[in-house]
Amino acid sequence: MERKQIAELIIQCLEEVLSEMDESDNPGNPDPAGLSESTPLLGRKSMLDSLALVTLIVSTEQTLKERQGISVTIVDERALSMEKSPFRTVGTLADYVWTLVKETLAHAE
Amino acid sequence: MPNDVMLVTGTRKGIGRFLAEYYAAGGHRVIGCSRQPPDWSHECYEHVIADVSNESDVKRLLARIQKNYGRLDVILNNAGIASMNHFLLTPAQTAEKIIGTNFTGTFLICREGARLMMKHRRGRIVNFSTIAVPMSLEGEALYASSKSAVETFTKIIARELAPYGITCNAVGPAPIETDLIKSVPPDKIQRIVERLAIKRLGTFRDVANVVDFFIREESDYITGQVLYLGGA
Repeated sequence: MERKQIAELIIQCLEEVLSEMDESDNPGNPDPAGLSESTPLLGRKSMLDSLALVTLIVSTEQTLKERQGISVTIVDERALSMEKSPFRTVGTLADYVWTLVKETLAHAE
Repeated sequence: MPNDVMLVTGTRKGIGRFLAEYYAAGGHRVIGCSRQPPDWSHECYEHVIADVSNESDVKRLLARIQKNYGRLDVILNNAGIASMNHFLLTPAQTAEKIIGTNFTGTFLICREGARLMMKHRRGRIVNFSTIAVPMSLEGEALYASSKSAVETFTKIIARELAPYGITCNAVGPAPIETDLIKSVPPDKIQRIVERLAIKRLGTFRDVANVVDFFIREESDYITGQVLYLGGA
């Protein structure tokens, strides 16, 4: 598995979460094709409310488990205590999940 | 609903066994768990050895449900332990075990189970409290406190899970003839029964009746509620 696959998986999950949000909750809902690693997940520029971010994280974990058989816990003590949150953008989240995946695979060997 | 996939914890004996057999006979696909293997079986029942207070066990249990059934419709968080004693004589280790199984176990099963339910935007969770909470029964400080935590947890996650179409309620049984109360002196049980509005011991069927109500399709507007039996 490569980091790029994780970023793609997160974008797919994000598309799903955005499609389930009411238009009234998400008036700026962009074309899903416009989603990229620089898409913000936190802050004023994010299209997600807090519930949608929770849904995205759980969906990412579940999809990773279903497709790759890899079980990770994204929100752990380390993620919450990092100076720069790993939940800032799709790219930073992919970086963090990739770190967790590498650790999980190394631990399994 | 028939064919629903249901997880019942603590199914080796007592209320858990009754509920597992009852819903398996009713056409549900029932997955049960306990720390020790059961001495019973049913064609619609699958048993998994798991300690609900152990995070790895719970994750393995839910991964198996996801793999074998692809979904989860109902959770009955029945697994529980008790230790009736004056709190002044309660060891810390006993307190940890009670909190671990009754509260942490309920939390872990809800967390991992709700993740499966979220995908289908539908689910029913029934947690188990006790009449010892509203009746503040002496000798049950740790047990009742762990169940108070379950009640608060139930009410809060009911709100957090509502956007996903998942309801979460709790049932508070009155004393029933099970191993859980076998160490309680008969006269104490009788005094508890005398304080109920309906002065008799509870039955497994009384509990199943409340669970039936909470999990039925039409109960999709009922969440965050605790229903005590016997008029506690």
